[in-house]
Amino acid sequence: MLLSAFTDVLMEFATDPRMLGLVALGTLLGLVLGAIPGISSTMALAILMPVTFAMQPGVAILFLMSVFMSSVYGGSISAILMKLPGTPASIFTQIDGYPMAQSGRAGHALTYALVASTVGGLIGLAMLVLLAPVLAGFATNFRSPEFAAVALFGIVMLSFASNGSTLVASVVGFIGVALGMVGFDALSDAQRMTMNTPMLQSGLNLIPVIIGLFGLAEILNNLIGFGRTTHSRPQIGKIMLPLRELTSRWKVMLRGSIIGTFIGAVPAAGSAVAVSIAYGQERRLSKDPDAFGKGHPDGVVAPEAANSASVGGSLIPLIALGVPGDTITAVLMGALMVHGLTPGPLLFTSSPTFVAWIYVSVLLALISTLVLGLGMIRAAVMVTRIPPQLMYVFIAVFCVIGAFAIRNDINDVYVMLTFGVIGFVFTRLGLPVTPLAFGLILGPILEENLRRSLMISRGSWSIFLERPISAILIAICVILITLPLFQWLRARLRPADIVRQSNKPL
Amino acid sequence: MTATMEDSPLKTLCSGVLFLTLSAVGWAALRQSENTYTGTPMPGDPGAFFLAHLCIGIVAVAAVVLTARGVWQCVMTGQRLMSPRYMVSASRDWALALGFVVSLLAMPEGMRWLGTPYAVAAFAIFWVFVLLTAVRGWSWRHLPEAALFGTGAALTVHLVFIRLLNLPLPV
Repeated sequence: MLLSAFTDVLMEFATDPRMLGLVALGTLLGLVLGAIPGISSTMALAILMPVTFAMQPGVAILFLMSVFMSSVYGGSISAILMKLPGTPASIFTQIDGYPMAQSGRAGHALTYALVASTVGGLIGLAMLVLLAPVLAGFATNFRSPEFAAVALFGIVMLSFASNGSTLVASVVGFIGVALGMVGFDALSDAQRMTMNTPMLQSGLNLIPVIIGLFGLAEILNNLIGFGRTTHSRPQIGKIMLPLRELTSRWKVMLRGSIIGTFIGAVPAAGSAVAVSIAYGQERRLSKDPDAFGKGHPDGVVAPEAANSASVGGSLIPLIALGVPGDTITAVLMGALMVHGLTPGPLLFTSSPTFVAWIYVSVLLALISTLVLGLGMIRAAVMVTRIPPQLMYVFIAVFCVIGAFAIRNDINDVYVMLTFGVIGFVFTRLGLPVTPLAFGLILGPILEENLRRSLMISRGSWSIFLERPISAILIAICVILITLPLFQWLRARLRPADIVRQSNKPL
Repeated sequence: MTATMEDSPLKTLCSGVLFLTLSAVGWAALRQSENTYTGTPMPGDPGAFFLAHLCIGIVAVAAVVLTARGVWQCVMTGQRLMSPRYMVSASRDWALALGFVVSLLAMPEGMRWLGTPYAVAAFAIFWVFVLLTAVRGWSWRHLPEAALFGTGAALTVHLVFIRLLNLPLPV
């Protein structure tokens, strides 16, 4: 059934010039936004989300996936040309990409990145097609305790993968959960934390929150120290590589793609972890490890393949469990919810067309990124020359219009601004922002399933430990949260580490 | 990307104070909601306020720990909380961001009174001029560039969002 839905959707999208035009537009916007320093894939997706409000769900998914997939590669353009990674995942691309650009091989570096990104994306998609139904089939046995445990696991895993202290990141996640409870309770109709304000009674709409946290907050952060840094723009040099050069790196691409897919599939592990492992692994396996960091093509190919493959990987828990794999898929999930689409394990049987939309969109976006990306390599330098002040102002306008357009409500603009300031303050204080968004998305799932489980068990908390999957997930959460505490205590007992550890918060 | 909290006792202290404020506001809002609710929970259900209380409680405990730790670290390292030099440097750094937020707060009202394209044009012209000045220094010559971009932004918003996508923005 899924295969026929896939071919139907593929034929529908691939033969309609309007759809192909939309893919091209989304890809172009994703490439340009991704290539501009300071604009991440998450931000690109968040600010372009309002453009899809008037679209049909399938068309909206196609457009958003095109932006998403192309901005992943777009982030590496500024990393290679300007040593300014747009996303954490591009940090490893710059290590070898920038030295290549400095030595006049920027075109080669971009081509390596683009081809590796496409191959990685295709392998990630293949894994998504193979593994998501298996995981969803397994998840059909899930009941309320398991879903509550998965939601908690998602929040804690993301906190564990965040910069800094896991405990502090978990606390930020719980702030998100609490914010997700603002408004009327679905079970008891009780008003919660509304302070009798009409605008809060319907709760905090996810989209203004996301636009504020990932769009406006990033602009405000970029305005700190604005105008003090300048960067040189290198020459592109030759673009086309001998085919033998590319095909000789198939093992590197394959290894990077497999690492990217599987790490990306772990909720909250994200692409940044995947690229670091892929880069480290390739350096370890290389015959010439000393050349890494000085412009080795494998140092570009491995992280780019992993980065792109992790997209497919991160979509696996999103589609199969309804739990976003990382920040970008969290934003994507918010966009899907706006269009009335809620991912989850029953999706494969209840709405195969929806799954097919995602598969086809990823495929077309990858092809479009390859074609337009190759054509745009020379233009990439021009993109990096766009004055950032123009982009910041335009994106701020986008943020306001996007927040307003969801419900035609001016209050949503104020919500967006509030969360923009919260995201900005959190970032300045070194607090992770992503767990806040995750808490807001997963909080309602956690609360609903937690309370339902307790009602089934007549208030007995043992229901979460009697079921093996929820017991294992809760045990992992407890280990992840208490691990830093044990490490801290152990370090306190070792005199040599006392001075170093005393400066770290719990 | 800014440094994490581990690098700075001041950040730890500020994070503690921020968490303390958030938990206090959350607790007050929750108490107010509880006082107005008259229903009784279903058997086994911990109630509509249980998870919110739990989350706010966790945030409050973390706030106390971070605040105490921040104070202790500041005392141990002899770091002054607010040195005049730091304040001047920070306010210079934050001025653009604060101004940006204030003007964005005014933008919805501007959209309502002037219409979206005009409000967008006014916002874009002003900020492109300010940011160009921040990069290249003061000059009236930035004004045509800012006006060009502002008009372009307003035109794009009008054509794409109002005409093409039919979004119900104030015109």
